[in-house]
Amino acid sequence: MRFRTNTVTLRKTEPYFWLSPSIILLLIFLMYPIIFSVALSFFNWKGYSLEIFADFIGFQNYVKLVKDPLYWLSFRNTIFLVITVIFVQNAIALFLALIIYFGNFKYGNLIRALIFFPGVISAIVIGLVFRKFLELTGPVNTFLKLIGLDALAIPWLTNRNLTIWIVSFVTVWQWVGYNLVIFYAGLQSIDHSLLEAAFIDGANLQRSIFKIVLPLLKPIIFLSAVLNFIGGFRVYDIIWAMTRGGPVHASEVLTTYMYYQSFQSQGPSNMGYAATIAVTLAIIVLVFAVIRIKFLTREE
Amino acid sequence: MYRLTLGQKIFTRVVIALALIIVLVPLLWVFFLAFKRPEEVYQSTLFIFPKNFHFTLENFPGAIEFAEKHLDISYPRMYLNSIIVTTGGLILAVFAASFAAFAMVHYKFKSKEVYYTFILLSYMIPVQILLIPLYLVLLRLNLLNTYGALILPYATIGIPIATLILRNFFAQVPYEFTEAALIDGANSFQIYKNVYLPLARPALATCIVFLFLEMWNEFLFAFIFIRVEALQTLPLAMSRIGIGAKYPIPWAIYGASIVLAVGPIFIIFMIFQRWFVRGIIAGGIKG
Repeated sequence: MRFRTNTVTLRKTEPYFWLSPSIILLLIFLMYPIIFSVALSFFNWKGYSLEIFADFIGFQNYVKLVKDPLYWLSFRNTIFLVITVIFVQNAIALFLALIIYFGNFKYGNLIRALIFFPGVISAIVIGLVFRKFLELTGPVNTFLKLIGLDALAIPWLTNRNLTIWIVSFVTVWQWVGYNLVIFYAGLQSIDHSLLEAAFIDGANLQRSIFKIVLPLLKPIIFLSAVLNFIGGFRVYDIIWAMTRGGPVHASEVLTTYMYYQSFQSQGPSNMGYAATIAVTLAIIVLVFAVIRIKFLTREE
Repeated sequence: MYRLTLGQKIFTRVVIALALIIVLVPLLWVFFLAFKRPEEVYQSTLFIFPKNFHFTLENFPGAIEFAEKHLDISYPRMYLNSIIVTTGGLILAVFAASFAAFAMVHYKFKSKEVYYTFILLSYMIPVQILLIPLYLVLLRLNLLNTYGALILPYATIGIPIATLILRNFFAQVPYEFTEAALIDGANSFQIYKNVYLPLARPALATCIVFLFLEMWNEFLFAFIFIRVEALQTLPLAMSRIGIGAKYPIPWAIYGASIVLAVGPIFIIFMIFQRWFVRGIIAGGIKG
């Protein structure tokens, strides 16, 4: 029991006094904007007109969205990116975590830190690095030409079919260390007596990993997948810095498409429609957020 | 611990070497780009190093000049702006969150579960849904193009995760400590200040690291809410040397600009490495 039994008077309101700074900020800068956006998705509002809630159009924005090929392109790209970060990024991270953990590396901590380092840098700067790195006359193409693969030395980021792959690759490159750190912490927290016993019985490493370690890591793997799911839907900066959603919308995801519809200079300035895109994005993420919460409370 | 066979030993070393090459080569390439003579950027030794290892520092004054001339902002100013909005957002978020976390642990009240769920959900909301309304709110409050336009939203976005981390930590504070303070006649503010906060120092540190990374690197809000060059944060100002830049930027200067923007973070990261890792784990697992 953590409440105070000796002072009963006036205490009912006291917790709310402590909560009030958070609640005030969350109401003004989070709750109100969410409600506003949901409301806005039912209106036709161009950014430049003064009357925001003048043209009520019901579900028309949602109907438009279903028929909008660019929305579906962005949606597909988003799903591609999300699947990549859930499966590829997690698989690589888990593999590396196991290797570092069981590999008895002298500089394990340093290796972990180096692989994690890109996660500390702003995605905008990472984008700048890779733009030059992949440029037509950049080092990647110089290398390809040197080993005789001249045909592969192309302007990577202006290729319509490749951009989403490249953006996904760079995202994985930047964040694989993040999942690695989480998996490594998971490995450190598992009960070692089982493993030690298996090793004494002469079990080999691969078998022990599959039979003992991975089953124990299941909760962490699931958590990592959900984190990447939510993170994947939020990706914006790296695409902005590398391609701006281009060429010709080829690497557009929901977040960049929402920006394109709203604040993009000389863009359509469809604020109501942009709000609709954001609402669909939020709904998808929240559905999975609820699953995660269910999972977390089950853990407790 | 398991003893590796020779094959396993080779395999693990090769995998890690490959991983390190893939992670480090782009970064090293940009780093050394900054030290190449502008006319020799295409003639690297081993693709990465300056030709014949001739290092030059001339690109750094060049990058500083480029920023002042074409981005209309100096590096010290970018740093100052980033430091102000990050510190402001951090202080506000950590105070508000530690208050809330204290309330959730110290009191029993009806809507506690509701608030907890609300916090969990807010942590995961994609910020895009806030963008248009926040712009209007900040416009109404006359905050656009001020530090406040970033400090207040950053603090708000930071509160949920900070509350979760601190609540988990506060919950482990033994009740005997509170009891002892109560016997001494302490009121709840004194309990917060003298019992919980001092004990929670490691949790506060992880919290600060986690929020620091998010706020320091934040781009979208800064991009929409700050249009005046003089107030732009590092990522925002740096984004203007990328696509659609008004002025072409020579490769070597480009490299030097990136080193100027990332260098200090790299040093901070290497010093506080342990805390960064802890912050990330706390943010991921406890969130």
